[in-house]
Amino acid sequence: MKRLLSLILFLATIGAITWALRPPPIEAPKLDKDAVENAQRWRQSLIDEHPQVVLLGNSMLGHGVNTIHFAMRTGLPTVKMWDGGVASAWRYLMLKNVIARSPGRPEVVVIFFKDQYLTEPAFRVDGNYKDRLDALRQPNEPLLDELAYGKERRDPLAYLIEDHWPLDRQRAVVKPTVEDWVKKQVGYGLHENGKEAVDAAIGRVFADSNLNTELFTKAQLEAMGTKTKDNRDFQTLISESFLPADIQIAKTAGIRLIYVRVKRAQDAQAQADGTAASNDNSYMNQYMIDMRAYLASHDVPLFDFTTETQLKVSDYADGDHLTEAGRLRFTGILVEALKDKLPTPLASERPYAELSAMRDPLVLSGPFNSRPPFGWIAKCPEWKQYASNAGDSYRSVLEVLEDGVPLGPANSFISEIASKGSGRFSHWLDAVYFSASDNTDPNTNGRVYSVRFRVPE
Amino acid sequence: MIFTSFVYVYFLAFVVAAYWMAYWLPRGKMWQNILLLVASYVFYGYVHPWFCYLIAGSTVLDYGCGLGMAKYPARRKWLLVASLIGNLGMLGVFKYFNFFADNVVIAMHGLGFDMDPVVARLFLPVGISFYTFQTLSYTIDIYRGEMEPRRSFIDFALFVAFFPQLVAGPIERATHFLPQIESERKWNTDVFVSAWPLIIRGYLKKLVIADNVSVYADKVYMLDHPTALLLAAGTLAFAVQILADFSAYTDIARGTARLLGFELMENFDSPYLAISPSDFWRRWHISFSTWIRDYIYIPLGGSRVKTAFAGAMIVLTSMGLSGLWHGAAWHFVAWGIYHAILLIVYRQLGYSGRWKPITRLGVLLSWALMFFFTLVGWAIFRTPSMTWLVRAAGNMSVGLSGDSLLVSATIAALVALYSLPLIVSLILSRRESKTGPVSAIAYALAVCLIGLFAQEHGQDFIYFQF
Repeated sequence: MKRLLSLILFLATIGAITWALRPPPIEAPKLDKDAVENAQRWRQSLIDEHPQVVLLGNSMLGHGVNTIHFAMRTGLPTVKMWDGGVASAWRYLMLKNVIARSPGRPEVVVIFFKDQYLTEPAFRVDGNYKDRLDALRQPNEPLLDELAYGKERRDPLAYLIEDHWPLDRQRAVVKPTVEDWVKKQVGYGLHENGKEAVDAAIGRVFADSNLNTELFTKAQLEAMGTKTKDNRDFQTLISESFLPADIQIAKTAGIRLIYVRVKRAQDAQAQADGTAASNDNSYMNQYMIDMRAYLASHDVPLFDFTTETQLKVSDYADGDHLTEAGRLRFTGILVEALKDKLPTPLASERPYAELSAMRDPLVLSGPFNSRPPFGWIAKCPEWKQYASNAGDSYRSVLEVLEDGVPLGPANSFISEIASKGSGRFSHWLDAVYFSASDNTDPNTNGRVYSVRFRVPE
Repeated sequence: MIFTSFVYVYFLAFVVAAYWMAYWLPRGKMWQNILLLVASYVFYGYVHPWFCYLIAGSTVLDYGCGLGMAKYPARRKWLLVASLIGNLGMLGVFKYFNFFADNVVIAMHGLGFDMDPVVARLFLPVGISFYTFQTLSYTIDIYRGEMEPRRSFIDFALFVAFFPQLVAGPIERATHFLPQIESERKWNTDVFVSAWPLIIRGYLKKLVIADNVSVYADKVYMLDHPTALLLAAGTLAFAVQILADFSAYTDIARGTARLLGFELMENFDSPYLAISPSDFWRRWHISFSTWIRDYIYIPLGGSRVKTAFAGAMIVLTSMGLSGLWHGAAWHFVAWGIYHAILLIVYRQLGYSGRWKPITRLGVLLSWALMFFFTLVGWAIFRTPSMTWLVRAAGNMSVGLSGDSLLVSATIAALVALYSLPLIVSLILSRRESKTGPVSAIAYALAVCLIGLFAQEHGQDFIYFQF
C-alpha cells in the first residue's frame, strides 16, 4: 500500500510539474512570406514552362549560368532554381517536394555544388535558411529532421515523448533561460554588461581561430555545436547525407540527375599561380574519387569543373561568383560538357530562337523616366519574357549601348544604378533601368541609347 | 548498444519481461541464464558483431584454463600463464598496438631512422579492459585456491558478458558474482522497486549533469592557449563530468542488475570528499582500485616490503599500470604516476592508510588540498596529449581579468548549477532504500529535470573508451 501511494505521488508530481510548465498550444509555424512566394513561383514555373531541364543550386549557379544561353545552346526549355547560400537540405526538399511532385517535372535535374558540401546535411539549416526550408517542407520530414537537425526522429518512442510530454518541448525555453540567468548574474557580478558581455567574451575566447577541432571526436564537436573541419571522408559521410535520398527520389520520379562541381576563384587563382588550390588536398581528391565511384554505381554523371582551364580569375566578381562575361563563358563550357548527357529537344523550334534576330542594336526611344539621381527607365514590356526577375536575377542578356559603346556592368542592382550610375544597367521585368556613362541625363545629353541581345551564334 | 539510446529501452523491457517469465519454466534458472547470455551478446555486438568473437574467445580460454587447473594441478602455473598471455595479449593487440607502433616510429625517427607509420589501425572494442580484468580475476582466484572452477559454461560465459556491467563495469569478482548467477533468483518486489531510483539517478547524472558540463570542459581543452584560470574552470567542469558520467553508468548498471535480481558492487563513495590520496582511491572506481590492489599491488609485495624505496617502486608500478589501463597514451600513464607520487609522498609524511585529522579545520584543509590535487590529476588525464599540456603550461598567463575572468567565472557558475543535482543525488542515494513521499517527489523532480535539461547531443559514456 505504501509503495502504491509512493508511485501515485511520483506520477502526480510529474503530472503537476508538467502541467505547471506546459507550453502554449502549438500554433502553425509562421512561414516567411518571401520564402513561401519563392516556393510558389518555382512550382508555378514548372507548370507554366514545362522545362526539360532544371538547374538547381545556390548563388554559384545563380551567378554562374545564364538560362537563356543554356536553353538556346541546348535547344532545351530550361528553368533555373536557386537561392542564395542554400545547401544540401534545401536541394533535397526542392527535389522531393517541388520538382519530383510537379506535373511539369523535367527530364533532367542538374545539381550544382561546391567542394564537400553535398555531404554536409546540417550546413545552413538554421536562421533564415530554416525559413526557406520550412516553406518547402511537408509536416512530416523524418529524414530532414534527422540529418539536418540531429533529431532521433526515426524512433517511435521519441515521437511519443516529443508529442505528448510538454516538458520535452519546454527544454528549448527553460534551459536557455536558466543558463542566461546565470550568465547575467556573473556578468553583473563582475561589473560587466550582464549576459551580453558574457556572450561576447565567450565568442572571443572560443572563436574558431582559437580552437583546434582536430583534437576532438565528432560527438564532442556536435555537442559543442562546432562543425568538423576537413571532414571529407566520403565513405563515412555518404550515409549521413541527403545524396542517397536525392538519387532515390529522382529515380522514382523518372528524373535523370547530373551533378556539377563548380569552379571557385581560388581554383582559378591556383591555376594562374601554378600551385594546388587550398582545397586540393589528399582528402578532397580522395573524396571526389569516392563520390565519382558512388554516383557512377547509380548511373549518375558527375562533372568536376574545378580543373577546367578556360575560366580565369578575371571572370570572378568574388570568391564564388562569376561576372557577366564569366557567366556567359561558363554557360558555354557547361553545355559543351553536358551535351551527351542531356535529352533530345521535344519541341521543333529551339527556345528563344526569335532572339537570334535581335542581335543588332535597337534604338531606345525617350523620353526616359528618371530614377534619381542617376537612374533612367525605358519601358519595354514586349521583352519581359527575356528579362531578369525575382526568380532569376541574372537571366537577361540584353545589353545597353551608348552611342554604340556597350555600358555595364549588366544586371546591376536597380538601387545601385540609381545611386552610382556610371553605365550600370539592368533589364528587369518590363523595363530597362540604365545610367549614362558620365551620369548625365540621357534625355538631354544628345547621345543615342540602344539595346541588343547577346545571344550565341 | 548504449544505455541512453531508445533501442536500449525496448531491449531492456523485452529482456526483463522474458527473464521473469522464464522463471516459471521448468529449470527456470537455466533458461534465465541462457536468455541473459544471449541478450548480453546482442547488447555487445549490436553495433559491431565481431566484438562477440573476442569476448567469446576470452570466455572459452578462461573457462578451459579454470577446468584445466582443477584437473591438472601440476600444470596450474602454465595454465595461468596461458590465461594471462591470452587475455593480456588480446588487450595488448587491440588497445596498445597503435600506441606501441606510433612510439616505435617516433623513437626510430629520433635515432635517425625513418619508418613508415603502420598502415593498419586497429579498432578498440569497447569494454575490453573491463571484461578482460573480470575474467582474469577468475583464473587468478582459482590458481590461488580461493575458488573452485565452474563446470557450467553458460554460467561462466554469463559472468564474463553480463550486459549491465559489461562495457564500463563495475569489474565484478568471480567470488562475488558467480554465486549469484548460480543461485535461483526469485521475484522480490522490494528489490525490483529499489532499482528504479538508481536508474533515474543514473540518467539524471548522465543526461543532465555530465553531458551539459562536458561542453565547457571540451571547449577549454580545445583551446590552443588557455589561461590558467580557464584551464582551472575547464578542469573543474571535467571533474564534475567524469564523476557524473562514470557513476551514472554504475548506477544504471546496478539498477538494471537489480531488475534482474542481481546485486552489483558499488563503484563510488563520494570520491571528492576524500582527504588523502589513499582515501581517494578507496572511494574512486572502487572495483578497479581493489582489483589493482589485490592482483598487482599485494602480489608485488604491497606494504610488506622492507625499504621505502621498494615500496615506492611497487606503488609506481601499480599506479603506472593503472594509468595505462585507462588508455594507450602517455598522459594516462602520467596521471597514474602522478597519483603514485601523491600516495608515496603522503605515506612518507605519515598520512597514509586511514589517517584522518583530529580537528574539523584539519579535515577541511586536508579535503581542500586533496581536491586541488585531484583537479591537477584530472588536467593530466583530460589533456588531449602531453604535448598540448606542456605547450599550454609553457605559454600560460594567469588570466585574472578581462575575457578570461568573465568566461572562467561563467563556466564555474554553470558547472555549479549543473552540479546541484549531483549534491541532491548524493542526498537521495542515502535515501534510496526508502520509498517515502519525499523520495517519490524527489525522483519525480529528477525525471522532470531530465526532460527539461537533457543535452540534445549526448555523448558516449567516457569510460567506454577504456
